[in-house]
Amino acid sequence: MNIQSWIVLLAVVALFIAVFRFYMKKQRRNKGCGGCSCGCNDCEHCGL
Amino acid sequence: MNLSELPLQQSARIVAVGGDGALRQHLLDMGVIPGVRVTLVKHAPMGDPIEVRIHGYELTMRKADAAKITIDTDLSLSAPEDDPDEKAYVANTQEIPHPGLGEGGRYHEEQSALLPSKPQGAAPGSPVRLALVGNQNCGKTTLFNTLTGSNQHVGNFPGVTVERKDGTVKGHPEVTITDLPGIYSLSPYTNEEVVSRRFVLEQKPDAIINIIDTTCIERSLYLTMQLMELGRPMVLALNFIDELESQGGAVRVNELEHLLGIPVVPIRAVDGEGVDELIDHVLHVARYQEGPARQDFCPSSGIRSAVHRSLHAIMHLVEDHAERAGIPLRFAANKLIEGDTLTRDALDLSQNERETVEHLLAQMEEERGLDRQAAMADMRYAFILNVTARTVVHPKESREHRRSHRIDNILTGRWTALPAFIGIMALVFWFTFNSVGAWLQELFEEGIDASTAWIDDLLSSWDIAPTVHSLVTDGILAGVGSVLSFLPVIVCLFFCLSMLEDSGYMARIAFVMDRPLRRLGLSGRSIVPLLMGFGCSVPSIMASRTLPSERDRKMTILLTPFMSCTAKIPIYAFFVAAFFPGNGAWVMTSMYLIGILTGILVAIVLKHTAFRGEAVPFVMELPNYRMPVARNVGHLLWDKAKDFLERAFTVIFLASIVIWVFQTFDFRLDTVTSNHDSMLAQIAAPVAVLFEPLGLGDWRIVTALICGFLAKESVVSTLGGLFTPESLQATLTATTCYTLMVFCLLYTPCVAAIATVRRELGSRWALIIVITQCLVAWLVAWLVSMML
Repeated sequence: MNIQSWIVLLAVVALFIAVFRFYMKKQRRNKGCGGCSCGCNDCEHCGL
Repeated sequence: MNLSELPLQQSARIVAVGGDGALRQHLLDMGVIPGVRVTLVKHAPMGDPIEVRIHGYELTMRKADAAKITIDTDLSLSAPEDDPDEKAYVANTQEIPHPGLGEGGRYHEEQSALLPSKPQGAAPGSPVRLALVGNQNCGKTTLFNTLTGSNQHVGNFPGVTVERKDGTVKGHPEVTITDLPGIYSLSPYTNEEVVSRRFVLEQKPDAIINIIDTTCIERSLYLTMQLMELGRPMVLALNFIDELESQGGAVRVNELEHLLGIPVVPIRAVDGEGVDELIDHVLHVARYQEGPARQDFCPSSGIRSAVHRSLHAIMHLVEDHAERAGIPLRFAANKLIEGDTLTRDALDLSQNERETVEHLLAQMEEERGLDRQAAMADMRYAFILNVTARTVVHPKESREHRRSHRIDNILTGRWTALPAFIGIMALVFWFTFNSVGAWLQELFEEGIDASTAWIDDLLSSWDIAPTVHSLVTDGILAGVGSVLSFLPVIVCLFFCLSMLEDSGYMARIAFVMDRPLRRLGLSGRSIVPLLMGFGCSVPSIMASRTLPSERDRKMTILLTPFMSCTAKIPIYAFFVAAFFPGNGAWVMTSMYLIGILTGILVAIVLKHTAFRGEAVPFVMELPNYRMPVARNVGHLLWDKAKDFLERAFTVIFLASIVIWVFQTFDFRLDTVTSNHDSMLAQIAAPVAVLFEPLGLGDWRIVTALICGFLAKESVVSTLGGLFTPESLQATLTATTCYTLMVFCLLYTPCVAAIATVRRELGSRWALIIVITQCLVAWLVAWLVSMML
């Protein structure tokens, strides 16, 4: 494969990982941790 | 005599409210209490449920529930407001100067002078958290959108699928406001009510805005009183006051403020009139933590004094427990009397204290002549009716109500309701799938095709390796693009749904369709999500959030996939063209009928097995018809579009790449030259054995069905890639083709729908749906193949 192909492939893989992480974070946020008093439902925000 | 036997257009007084549990408490909360006048307005077209008029608004309930309400047609029975002793505890209100509650300047100085120490108040600019609470249909969403504009975030309350909206108030970036669900009381029976009271008790917002519909102020103030018992600073916003005043009605705002002890601000949420004043008041009470000046609504003399004595005795008894539990004392005592298990558990009373409470309540019930729940509801409504008798001038009948009545003569008339409903739904479907929605979808598809072609050319010009090229174009773009093309349909569907909801017609649909749906174990409210399933399962499943009962919601979501969605139409069209030319209409119609019949059978099975028990009681307000507010519709469409786009660019994106990998490589991760060697085909081959009894044991057909999991349209594109027209005719017969169509109709929904189910019900239920649908599809397809 030429260099352009590798760049595109790596970009797709990076995008895949980024989307997967965003998706998992959204799932956690939607479920809500309920563990903080600010009511933000974002566990990462409150370090829980 | 009971309420279900009352003749049409006749009035009666309620003598007793039977039944128990959540339904009875809900009826009491809605004002169905002994002594109140009730009028039977109409029956639903199929005879059940009924619509009654009480406290100036329309309420629907099933005949079976109405049969538990004993009435007397002798209207000379005393009403709650007729007890002369009741007037004693409401102050003389001949001429009341402006009380100035919640205001600064001289009013604040005067009130501060009465306190032992001058309150300092939070510094201007310090963060303030508000809660917005009100009944359904009171304009709460409109007010929230007016206050926050686009500065809002939609999420979920923890642990429940109750939507939560937060936003910052325009012009006040330090002020955040949470829109709580529309509720009628703070009882512990529904998720919405529990979430709201938990939010106020645990999150302790700095102040509450309680918005009410002034045109049915008596019912609305019931929630107000319970909020006041919580002791948090609050402001009462009188919405729709212009409607009341335009018909000759009026509210003596100063007197109302004086009698209630909280700031009262008339507003018009739709155009923001009075909203600045509302914000000023609520920020003042929030910063100075000025709670309600009044929390005691029970009279110490007269027929309701027994309630007063009992309530205050219990308050003294549980004072220390309430303080330890962090529950406002008055609220705790009230809920304990009403039999609220959440409060009872939180107070953790000793055995002796519990018995003492029981004795006090037994004494109260004996003296008052009502059970405890009815006595509490009666006490609150007596106070409300006394206050409104002094402060509210009601018009004879508002223009909006007369107009609603005229429209309802057609839309819920005995012979016109169903034709009107079919006509309106046909219009919705025509708008979405034939005209505007279809045109927008075509534009979208052209745009997506053009973008795909441009990217394709770009990749070719960069000399990208064929495999990587295929990953981008055949994997990502084809997968995401096919789902993205549904966005216009979703937006159009939700536009129509929003118009029906905001206008008030949705409540009428539920009223008309309750009886037939009850036979399937559902309530009338399920009809709209089910109908939307004919368009697309994704918005249909999302729309099921409006159902108040968890049971009804689950059952509706389980039945939605049986409604043949539009994505399956290309599948039918593909096979009809190949095997049933000239009979397309009959074949397509039979698909829809098979789907509906299978859904009905599954519903009946579920009703007697996993979802045993009656559908949730159907007690629902019928609001006046109103013009939908453009801003609200716009906000909703933006929320739904954003939600759909997010899902398309996450779940669909990920699934597209995974399926592409399985289609392109073999198990040694070598690129395949023939589809037969791919991982997907290798997986499909053994699965194809299961389809032998259906006459569909060909790996290519199973491969197409697996690809259909991503998007139903993929079935057609995959078959097109794996078969030539001649090989298709050689592989399938008319019978096996019809069997395959039935299987495609009923098997697992697409990944977008499953992802939506997963969010609403969890992974377990999503898996159950996938497996159940496949099993039902196989069974029905097998039966069809046997019969043909």
